[in-house]
Amino acid sequence: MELAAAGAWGLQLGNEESGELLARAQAGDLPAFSSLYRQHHRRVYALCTRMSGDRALAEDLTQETFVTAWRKLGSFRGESAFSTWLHRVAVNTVLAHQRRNAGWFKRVVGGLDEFPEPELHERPDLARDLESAIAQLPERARQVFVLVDVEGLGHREAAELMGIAEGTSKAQLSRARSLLREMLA
Amino acid sequence: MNDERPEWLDKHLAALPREINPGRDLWPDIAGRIRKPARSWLPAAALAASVILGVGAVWMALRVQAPAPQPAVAVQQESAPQESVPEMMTASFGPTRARYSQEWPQVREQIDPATAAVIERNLEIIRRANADLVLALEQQPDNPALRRLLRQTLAKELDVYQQAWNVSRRMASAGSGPGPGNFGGSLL
Repeated sequence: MELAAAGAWGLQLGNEESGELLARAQAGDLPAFSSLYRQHHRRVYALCTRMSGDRALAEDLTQETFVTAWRKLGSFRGESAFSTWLHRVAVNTVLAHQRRNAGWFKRVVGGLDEFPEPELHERPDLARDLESAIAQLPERARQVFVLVDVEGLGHREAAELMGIAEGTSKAQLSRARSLLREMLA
Repeated sequence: MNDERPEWLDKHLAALPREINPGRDLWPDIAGRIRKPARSWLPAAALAASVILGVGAVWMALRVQAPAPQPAVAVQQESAPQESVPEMMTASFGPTRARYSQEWPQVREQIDPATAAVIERNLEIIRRANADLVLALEQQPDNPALRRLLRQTLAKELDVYQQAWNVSRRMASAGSGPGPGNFGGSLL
């Protein structure tokens, strides 16, 4: 499978031009950083979209990722590919956002009253493709699925990023796959 | 636990695009934030709590915030977006919200009054949160936490409308009526 086999985060910059852009950006050159953004933002946006399950929110998270990356660029020492480092910044940005804001948003949403909803099979917008189905997964199952099955990370690395036990990561992946199979059937 | 990826999933994953294009150009905002002095934002949760209690607390918080010194980084000046953040963010949800809101009376007719009342109460809660966040953002237009919260509450409002439409559709298909016209249909 192309995505997992390629190890999406392990993509190298690929040419001298990109390496030079990175060096210039590290020296504070914003146009160089803009070029790096143009190279990487679609991948980062895809990751933020799938991790958050919300395209509009993912736009903000992508912006936050690049602002954070700019501020931390000086600490990037080239020990991993730039894209690997950048994707880690993105994952941390998504998870930090959820930790910070879950309380308030849940209080607003928690203030809403329940009313009867149709069964899943009756919904007119039932997800028929994987992209939509991922967005409908429960938060933690979705994030483990994206990190492990879409981004190609191992359970240990995914668990470490998410601050959960490796066994929890495996259980959530199994749950995500079961739910997806049901949705895509 | 068997962790091997099942064959059915491989087929779907192979079709999943590596990249997704955002719906708008994200760079101007990024460049604008990079150019500005770093600020020690109040914790998002504290700000959000202030929002839900009323915008007065947020205004007070704004008055005591002081920007940190400008970082010594040479960057090129670029023009900042002219549109205010609340306008921009509301506008991105505006057309869909307007259509849902316009067609709500028709949908309301299709569902039982008790459920409709619950939905309207929920919408009111969300709209109050939206309004508070917009006011807070007028004071802190670049606060990313507030911007994200507004996006979330705007999305939640659409979600409640969508749920209402689902309920009305189910009732229509059960034979209690013809169902709403095209409420939400063209928006899905």
